[in-house]
Amino acid sequence: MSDLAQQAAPRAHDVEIEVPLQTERAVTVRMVAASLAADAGFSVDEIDDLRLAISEVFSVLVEASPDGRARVTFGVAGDEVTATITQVGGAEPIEIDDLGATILRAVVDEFTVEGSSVRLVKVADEAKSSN
Amino acid sequence: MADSDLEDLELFRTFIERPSRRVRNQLVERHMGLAAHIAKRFGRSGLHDEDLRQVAMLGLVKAVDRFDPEHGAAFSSFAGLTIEGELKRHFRDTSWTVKVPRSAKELHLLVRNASDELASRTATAPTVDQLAEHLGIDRDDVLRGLAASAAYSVGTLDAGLGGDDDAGPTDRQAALGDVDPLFEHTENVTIIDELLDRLPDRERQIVRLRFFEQKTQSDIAEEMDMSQMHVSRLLRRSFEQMRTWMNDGDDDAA
Repeated sequence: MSDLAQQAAPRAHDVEIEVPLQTERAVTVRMVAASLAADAGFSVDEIDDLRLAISEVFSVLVEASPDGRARVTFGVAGDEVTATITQVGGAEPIEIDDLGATILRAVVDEFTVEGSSVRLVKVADEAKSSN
Repeated sequence: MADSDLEDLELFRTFIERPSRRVRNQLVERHMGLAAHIAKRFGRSGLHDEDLRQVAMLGLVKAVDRFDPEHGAAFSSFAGLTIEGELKRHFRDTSWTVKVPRSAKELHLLVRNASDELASRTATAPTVDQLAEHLGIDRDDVLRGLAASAAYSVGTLDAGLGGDDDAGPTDRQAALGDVDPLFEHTENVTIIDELLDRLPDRERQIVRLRFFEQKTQSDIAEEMDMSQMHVSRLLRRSFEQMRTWMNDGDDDAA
């Protein structure tokens, strides 16, 4: 019950969607992520990295709970996008294995796993330095 | 009336009196600049520019054939309207207008090319807004184009790596899909290496650069001499493939 998403009350500008944990729905979540990252001025590279991260977390959740649902909360603050993916009603803590951790480390700036939530943080570095 | 308009008038009178290819060509040639100008106004970002120019030229030829010099209007005005009409008809007939959504495939190609072009110009990956501005299309369409990258693979994808758009496992996947007898006994530390080793050479190299050298997709694209989107696609497929192998390994171990 110490989900990150439940701990912090949704902020006024957060975007939240809930989807069934089906492989095809990862596309939906990725599209929303891409759209928000575009708002934050992410480069094509960075948008893609965020999408890769979401795909990876989604795969892990689908594998763990094929009939479940996931709630994804996006926060955009300046050039930073946060995506918190929570297994809805998830009883078992999410485990990110070595592969998952390696992938996430490579593509996002920060990731934390707490209970049934995974929180990803990606900052638009390239956009900043090129401006 | 301007001098050039009066010259037009003279030529048209000659043409109508004694129609000849030479005078017709002369009239067309005198206004090719106008046609090109209008075509350019209708075109965007180099896309279909040559097609549009051809359509505009066709409109110009029609204008020459239809123009009535005794009507009082200058040929240039008449030609302008005729050319525009021809271009609009072209857009309508080909269902390709400025606002009509394009296919995901077309968007993907557009975005990919523009992305490469901008990246080579500035040495950093472009933002979605930069792409939208460069292409003169909505940001939504840029996003659609980016999202389509997995579905429309162009170039030299390794056929052995199945993505979400492939129907079934290829021979290569089937061959590689068998759990390595050593796999269950390897330590965690080497699982990544193990998975990497199963990837085709090029994919392994790309994933290594991303995993261990923290190179951006654009860096990798440059290093490997391929487009950023190609890198993106190969990365995604490789990640998915490694995830599948990993999970299959778990299932077998359980």
